[in-house]
Amino acid sequence: MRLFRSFGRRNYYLAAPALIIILGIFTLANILNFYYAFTDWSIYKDEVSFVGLENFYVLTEAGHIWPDLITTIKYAISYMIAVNIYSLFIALLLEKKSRINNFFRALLFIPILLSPIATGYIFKGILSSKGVLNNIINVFTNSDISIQWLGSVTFTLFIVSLVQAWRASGIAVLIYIAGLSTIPEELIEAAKVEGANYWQIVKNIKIPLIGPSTTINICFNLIGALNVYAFIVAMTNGGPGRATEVLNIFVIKSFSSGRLGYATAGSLILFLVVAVFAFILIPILRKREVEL
Amino acid sequence: MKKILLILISIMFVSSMLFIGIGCKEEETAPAEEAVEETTEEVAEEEVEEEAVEEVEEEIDWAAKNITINMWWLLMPDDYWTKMIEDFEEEYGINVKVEVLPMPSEDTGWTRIAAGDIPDMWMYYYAGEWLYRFNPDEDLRDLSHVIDASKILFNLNMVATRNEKLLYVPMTPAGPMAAYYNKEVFADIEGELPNNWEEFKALLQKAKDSGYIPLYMPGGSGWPYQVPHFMYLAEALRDSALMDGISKNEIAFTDDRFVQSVQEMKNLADEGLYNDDYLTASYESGQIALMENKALCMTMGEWFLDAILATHGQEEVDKKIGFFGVSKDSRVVPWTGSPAGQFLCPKTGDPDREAATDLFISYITGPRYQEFINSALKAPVYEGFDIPEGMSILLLETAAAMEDSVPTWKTNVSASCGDVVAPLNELMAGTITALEAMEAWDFEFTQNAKATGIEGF
Repeated sequence: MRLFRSFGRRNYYLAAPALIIILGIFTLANILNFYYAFTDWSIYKDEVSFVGLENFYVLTEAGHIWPDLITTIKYAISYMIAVNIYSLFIALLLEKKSRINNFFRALLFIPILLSPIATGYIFKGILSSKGVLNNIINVFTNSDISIQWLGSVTFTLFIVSLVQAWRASGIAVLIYIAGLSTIPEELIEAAKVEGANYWQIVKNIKIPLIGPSTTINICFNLIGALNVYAFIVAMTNGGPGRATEVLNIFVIKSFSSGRLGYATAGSLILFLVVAVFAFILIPILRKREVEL
Repeated sequence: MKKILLILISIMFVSSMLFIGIGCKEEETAPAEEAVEETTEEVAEEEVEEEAVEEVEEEIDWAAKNITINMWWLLMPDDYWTKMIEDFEEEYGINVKVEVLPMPSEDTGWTRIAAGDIPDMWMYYYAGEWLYRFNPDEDLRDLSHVIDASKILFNLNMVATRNEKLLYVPMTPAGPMAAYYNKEVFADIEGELPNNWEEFKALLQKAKDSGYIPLYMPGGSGWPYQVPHFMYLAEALRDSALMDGISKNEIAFTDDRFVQSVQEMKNLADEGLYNDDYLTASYESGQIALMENKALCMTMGEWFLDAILATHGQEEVDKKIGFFGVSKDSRVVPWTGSPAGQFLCPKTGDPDREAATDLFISYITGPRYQEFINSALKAPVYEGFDIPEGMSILLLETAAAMEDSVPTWKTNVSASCGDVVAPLNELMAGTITALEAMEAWDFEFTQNAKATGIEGF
């Protein structure tokens, strides 16, 4: 009720369209998702019957849900780490306002404007065994190697996450630059007077003071990566084997089998994983910001 | 405003409960009532079909009815299809809306069907494994009143019909799966056509020893792994008891014949008889390697020829590419239907649209069919039509190979196996064994058979 009281009348009107869309599209869909995950809803018959936990039992029996869940989490964490390290590095390089920095900020923002599917296919070509990357390596090493960057069951997942981190880093860079611009210049000057070098200033002043930017970048990128689909489909389609098969790919494949209740159970697990990550992560990072 | 928001939330909650209620209500219907309803529905459906036939026969002012037939396609229609559709629209005043489904088209289509968006015709996989993603008896229209199934050639009606109902409109022949080989490389290594799998492997080894890629496997596309498995297993499928047993849950996919066939597919990799980058190689790079004399062969279906005919021309392809079938113990070829050029018709419940669809099917398989195959340069699949002049010799040979052929297990299995490619990919990546791959197929098949309500599961 405090929420309602704190809102002005005009704000209610402004929020109403967004609320209607969220309630209609997101909330309703999720309520139905919870329900259908416990039914035998399928394309094979009109009736929908409650089957309890059977879909979850079958998911476990099929043996793919847990490996795919682990793959999803591995991908999300490696992507989140890569995108944050890369974006912070770029943000520190480009934080000063200058024409050349503005130019590079714009340039580095371009990849996020590309479609994930298009980027995925382009990098699939670059990283193929006869692709550009292997050719460059061969030119510099004067050899004839043919590394299968996308053919390893151990490291392909991380390569895909690195490429996606490069593609999606534009927004994270802007958020870090915005965070860095809020740090009072006096603090930096004081540290310099005390004899701190650049690395000490970054480590002890800048990184701690951009906590809110870090929170946003970690949460958004982690949650976004848990929901990844198109980019991986374009680059590896879940292969080799199932090495890059994330939960969303599994869910889409399950839907195409026609057992919709079963597929919905898979998507419910993904929803719960995302929710758990969000609920755990946000308070921890917020607390860290307050402590600072 | 607070009240308005509360009312909105209440409406959302009530409507979601209503959705749930609708889902639950259907299961509460008493069996006797269901039986009566089903009988009434069947009678009504028969009446609708009879009415539709009568309407087709009568002179109907279609233009006045303002009907639009919705067709889902895999690919953009070529110029000939576009013209045929335009001519049909002009002649009958019926609109034909062609929609190319984005890839993966089957997933896109199924998602839309699940949401109640049902097309009148769908260019769809010509195989039981895909057919059974529908509930064919209930959801698909019987087209036997439009097409005489006995006039369908190449035994295609084996998969086009079910329980004496014709469920597909075939337009082009099915695709025999074989080794498509480069004749120049074959001559260079002084190869001989193999009569069984051991001789096939010996031929591949000979190509490897001569510095060629023996068998180009475009594993990056996933699905091509299936082809050597289909080829090896073809001999075993001559015995219809194998698939009958699987369809009745008397035999499992873990049967030795299946396990051995996928193991052989893996053995080719282990013995270095594929290209080095088989896990990631693309379909297109395989075509290039074959046409540029770098690879001896690719194991593919007949549809593979369309692409190289388009890129290299008929003369070069006929001169350079040959094909041979080979299975475990003989040269029998397996065949499967390619999705391109085959249609099925889901029930829409709209008698006018269904009758207009019948008329369209009669049009494309009747007076315009000869023009169609002349344009496509494909062998006719209906009696009474001539082989088009100028058809590729290779395509004629593949059509002739159908004489000693068996349909793949996918064409007549009783339920979907789900994603059959993923376990094969895992096997090739070395993360599971052949037996585990077949256990995965069996598990999916059993689950889908149960969901479909097949007896014995």
